[in-house]
Amino acid sequence: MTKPCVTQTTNSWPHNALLSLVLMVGALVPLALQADDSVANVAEKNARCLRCHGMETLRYQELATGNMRDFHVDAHKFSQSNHGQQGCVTCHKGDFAALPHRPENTNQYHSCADCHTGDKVLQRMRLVGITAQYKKSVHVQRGVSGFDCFSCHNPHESRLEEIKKPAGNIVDRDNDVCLKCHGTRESAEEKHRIIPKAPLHLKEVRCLECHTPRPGSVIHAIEPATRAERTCEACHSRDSILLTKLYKYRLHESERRTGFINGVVLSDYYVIGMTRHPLLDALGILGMGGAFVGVMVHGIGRWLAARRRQNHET
Amino acid sequence: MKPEPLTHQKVMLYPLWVRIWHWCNAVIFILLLASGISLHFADPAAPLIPFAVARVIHNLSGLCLTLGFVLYVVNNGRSGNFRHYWPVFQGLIGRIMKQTDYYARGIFLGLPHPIAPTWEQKFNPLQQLTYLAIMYLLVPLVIVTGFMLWVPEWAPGQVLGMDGLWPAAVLHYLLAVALGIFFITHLYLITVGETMTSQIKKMVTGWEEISIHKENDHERR
Repeated sequence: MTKPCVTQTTNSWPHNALLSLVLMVGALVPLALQADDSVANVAEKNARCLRCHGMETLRYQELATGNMRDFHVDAHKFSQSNHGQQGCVTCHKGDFAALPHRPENTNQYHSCADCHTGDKVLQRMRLVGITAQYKKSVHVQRGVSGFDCFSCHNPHESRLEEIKKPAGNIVDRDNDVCLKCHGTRESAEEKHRIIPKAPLHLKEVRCLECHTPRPGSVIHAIEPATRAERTCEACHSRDSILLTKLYKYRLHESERRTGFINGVVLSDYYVIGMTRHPLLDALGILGMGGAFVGVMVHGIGRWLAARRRQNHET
Repeated sequence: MKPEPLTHQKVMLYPLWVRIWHWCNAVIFILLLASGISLHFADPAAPLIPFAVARVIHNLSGLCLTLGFVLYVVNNGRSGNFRHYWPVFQGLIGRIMKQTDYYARGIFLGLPHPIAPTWEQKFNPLQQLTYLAIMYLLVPLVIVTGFMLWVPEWAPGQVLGMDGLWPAAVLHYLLAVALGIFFITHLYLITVGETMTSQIKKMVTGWEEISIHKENDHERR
């Protein structure tokens, strides 16, 4: 049996006034604290969470599935990320006062669009289109349990600036995401034996280049392996799909570098069929075409001269 | 005017190994050119040969070219066939002018070949210099750059701030163009023998009729 709550009332006005003042100040203090979103304050609040979540060992293996549940957040990478100035509880919903946290709270968090709807970042990230692509992806179509944006994108480390990094860094980062669930590099190489120089291809391009539909930038519509790109010319040609995928954000840099078509890729690699120089192409066509025309003209000249000689003799 | 020869005689100027190598090389050249054009000008809408097939053809043909080249160089040295490629420098310019004049003018007038093949020098100076450059400069370079494209790890990492493969790729392409031009003119020059088919017959049978003059009487066999 619970004890009834007893409230004591008094009629003295100075007491009432004092109580009102205390209550008002008391109500304003949390508001003031809440309004203090300074970097220092957020960092201080986050430090409380990171005291445990900053530990690399904060993970466990689910008995039912065998999957690792990782609760570690790299404090340094988080502070450098686009979300680094946000408080943990800005995105993570629920009551985290109890330790260990209640299981129902661990899976409650905002999605990207919850915060970014309508803002410029959303427009830049084209989240609406991405959501449509994502819904067509094999992960959603096959109803992979627990799969969402954050299965691939780590909001604690994401940085928009990373799209401008050298292709090699992006390839490593993105392929590591796939390999979290899809085996190791060695097993991936084994699976991709159909591709010539599989290790080199897996090192230099992302899984996404071939495992997403060909036209346009639809890298979130990940397709099943059976529908993967199998045509070499998809990349090894003038209109390579790499330009709409891996190099999409770097095209403006140097589309034509030292005269080469698709010169943007030249910093990373020379791609047969894709990296071409219009002048050299013209030189080759003119050279061989010229040789052909030259010998034809010479041959016709010989034939005419021989005929004229014959006519003279007769 | 050159004096009438003392006699004519047929000599084996193209031994069997040279003929086998030559005809194999002809097939390899065609395969390499067709597959190389397909790879460089790859276009999914209009492929000459699909990229995946062209890659295999090009690599295998490249291997055969390399093997043939090694056997050719070794045999050329051992058999003494190399003498035909090394020009006699004395009066070389004059002979080049004479041969050029023949292709530019004499051939239209029906004049005889100005430089007849001999046991020591079966090629005219233009052939000599061209074959020497092709076989001892262009082909080795196209092989080396080809292997760099096949195994990119063998190419330098970076050249002028770009992937180190590009100079090899550009050189390979230019060499291929030069070899393509050579191939076209070589095919045409088949027809400039005594008859339209005499050059082919020579490269099938290996026999060549040479004229014996006073100066090369020692070549009489």
